[in-house]
Amino acid sequence: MDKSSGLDFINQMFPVEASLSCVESFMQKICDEIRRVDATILAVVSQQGNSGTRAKENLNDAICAAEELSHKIQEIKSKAEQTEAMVQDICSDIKKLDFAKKNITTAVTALSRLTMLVSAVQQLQVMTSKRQYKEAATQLEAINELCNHFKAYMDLPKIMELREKLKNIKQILKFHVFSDFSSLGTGTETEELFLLKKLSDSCLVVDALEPSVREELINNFCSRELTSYEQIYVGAELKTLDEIELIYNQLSCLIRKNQGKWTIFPASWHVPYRLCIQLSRKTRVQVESILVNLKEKSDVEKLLLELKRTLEFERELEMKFGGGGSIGDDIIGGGGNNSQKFNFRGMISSCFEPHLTIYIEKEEMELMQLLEKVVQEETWDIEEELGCHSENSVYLMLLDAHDMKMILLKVPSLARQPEASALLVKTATASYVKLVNHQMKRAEAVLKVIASPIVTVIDTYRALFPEETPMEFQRILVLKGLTKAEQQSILDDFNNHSSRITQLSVAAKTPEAHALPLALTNVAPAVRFKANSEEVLTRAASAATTSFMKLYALTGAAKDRPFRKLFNP
Amino acid sequence: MASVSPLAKFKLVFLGDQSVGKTSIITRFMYDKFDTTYQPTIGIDFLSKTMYLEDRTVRLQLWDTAGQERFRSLIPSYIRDSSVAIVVYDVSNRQTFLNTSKWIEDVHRERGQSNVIIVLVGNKTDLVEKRQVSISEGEDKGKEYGVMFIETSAKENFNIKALFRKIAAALPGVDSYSLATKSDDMVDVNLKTTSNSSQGEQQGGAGGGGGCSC
Repeated sequence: MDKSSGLDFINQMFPVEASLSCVESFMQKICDEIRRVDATILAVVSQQGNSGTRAKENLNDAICAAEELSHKIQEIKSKAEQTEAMVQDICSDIKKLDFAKKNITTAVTALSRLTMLVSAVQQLQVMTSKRQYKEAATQLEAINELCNHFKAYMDLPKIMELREKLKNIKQILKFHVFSDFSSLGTGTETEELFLLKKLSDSCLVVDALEPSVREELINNFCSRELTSYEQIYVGAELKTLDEIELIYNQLSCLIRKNQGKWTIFPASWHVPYRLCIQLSRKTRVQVESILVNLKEKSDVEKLLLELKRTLEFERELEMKFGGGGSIGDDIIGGGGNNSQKFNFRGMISSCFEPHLTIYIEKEEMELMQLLEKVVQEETWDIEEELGCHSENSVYLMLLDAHDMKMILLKVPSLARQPEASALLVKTATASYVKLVNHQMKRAEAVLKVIASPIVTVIDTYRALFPEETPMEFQRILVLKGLTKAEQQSILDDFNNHSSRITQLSVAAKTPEAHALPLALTNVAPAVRFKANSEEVLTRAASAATTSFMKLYALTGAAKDRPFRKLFNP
Repeated sequence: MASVSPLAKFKLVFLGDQSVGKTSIITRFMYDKFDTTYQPTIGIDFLSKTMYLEDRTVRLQLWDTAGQERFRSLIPSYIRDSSVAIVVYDVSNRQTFLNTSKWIEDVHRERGQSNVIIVLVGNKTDLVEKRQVSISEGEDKGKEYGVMFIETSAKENFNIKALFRKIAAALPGVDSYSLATKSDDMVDVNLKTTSNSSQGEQQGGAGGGGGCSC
């Protein structure tokens, strides 16, 4: 390439032979150019050498700078760490300061409340010495709240000192309250009115003190009122029923006279109720004493009248002090509790129960008389009917038996019972109805056996009287109007089939025999009272059955054995 | 070296009937919280907070009083030591509004007619359906007694910051207050029984704890 290129250059420069004349000057130019180029090459090479040296120096400088930079970075990092540590310290200090502020705030609040408590106790002391009960009550409520705040600091001397002082003030307050109450009733009318207002305020203090103080005050007051009542009214020994009315008049007078005084107390204390309960208990003792000392031949009407008065008195107390509107705002008792707790029913009147025997006996007598009258009337009716319709006698008797049962069931309501005994009669009626039904069922069964044909009389009797004896069966056969020979024939058949049944009957009756004595020994007083009324009804029902049996005999005798004709056409 | 002026300290006492929201207003301002369960304040409660205003910084001591009637006779000593009285009522309870007259009169009795800032605050504006006191009634009462008036809702965080900015704007400047501040740096808390305990009219003990000096 180079060779070819040089050749071309020469050919280009010297195209013809004539141009060779300038070759010398051209050669000179080329030499000059060569020298210049050599100088340039030399300079460049020299520069390259210098440049290498400088580069090396620069590299060293850069390395030093980098090291210095690295060093500075290390310093900055170190300072950053110091700064961070400082910041941590500051944050820690801030946190401590924050806690300190909270503690100081809590301390200031506690000290402020303590200051308030000290001030409150001082004020209370002044109120106590001046017997300013209303203000003292409000102050006590504030003090109690502030003391609750200091429960955790009870071991501190200052707190202990304050509590001791407060305790003393409370005792003085209590003493003043009880002292003022004891002076009740000793002053003039004007002084009394002022005292009532003062005592009404003192009850607020009592509520602010311990609950035991309230209880003690109420008990003291009730005890004083009862003592006063006994001194004035409970003097001579009472012996007659008439004096029960006197007792109630005295009580009503006492209540009317003192009711204004009783309004001293807050309604929530229920003082009038509690007082009347205790008065009622004392009254019950008095009434019971009168009843116990009564002679046996006492007037039943008068006894019932006094019972009625007693119930009315209890109702009066209940309307005034019982579960009415006056306890509507009671927080402690609910609706159900009110009706159970504030109740005067039976408080006095229940002591009449053991003494109502004469009333029961009187009712029994009247019941017997009514029963005999009804039976006699029925006897005449049946006699007339038998004369007209003798062929249907037994069936008519069944219908009459049903009618009689209806009449017997109406007997309790026939008598005009006093209102006071309505509950008793209602209870007695249930037992009476049960017994009447039982006895009349038996009578109807007897009639059905009498009416049955001879062929089926044994089966009918056995179905209706599974546990009866041959003797009873024979009595029915007699009523049926059979001859002795006919009776004997039927009885022989009856005995042949019923021997096993008789043994079973004897075994079945054994538990009842054991049960009866056990029941009697365990009878409680209340049940014994009930047993008395049941006894009366039992006797009434037995009398009815006996009368009915007499009816059979009367019919047979009057009509010359009509049953024989009825069943032997 | 330039001397550092002392930090201005002001005592604010919160008055008003029970359960109108005194404690709730303070809690919203201090911690931006609202507690839905009501707990009556026992006697007196203390909190402090620093407010950073455009031109200065002030430290507020907040005295939260019990509104229950039983603490009524114990509150005056805290009114006596306060620069600002905030009388709060409940806009849904007319009686609390009517009772603000007594509270304002208590402040005047303890502090005199001048030298005290009183703010009438109608709280619980969130109870729109139950409102019993209108804004105009509150404004009229404010004018009648010559006191500032504002309505708030601690529950909805309405106007709480505005209330305290309003108070801060009304507080005296550093220059006029510096002398008073120095003399009021330390407060003696006296817990001992005074020799005049027989006089019922005298209120025992000093009011308020010392302020934080930091």
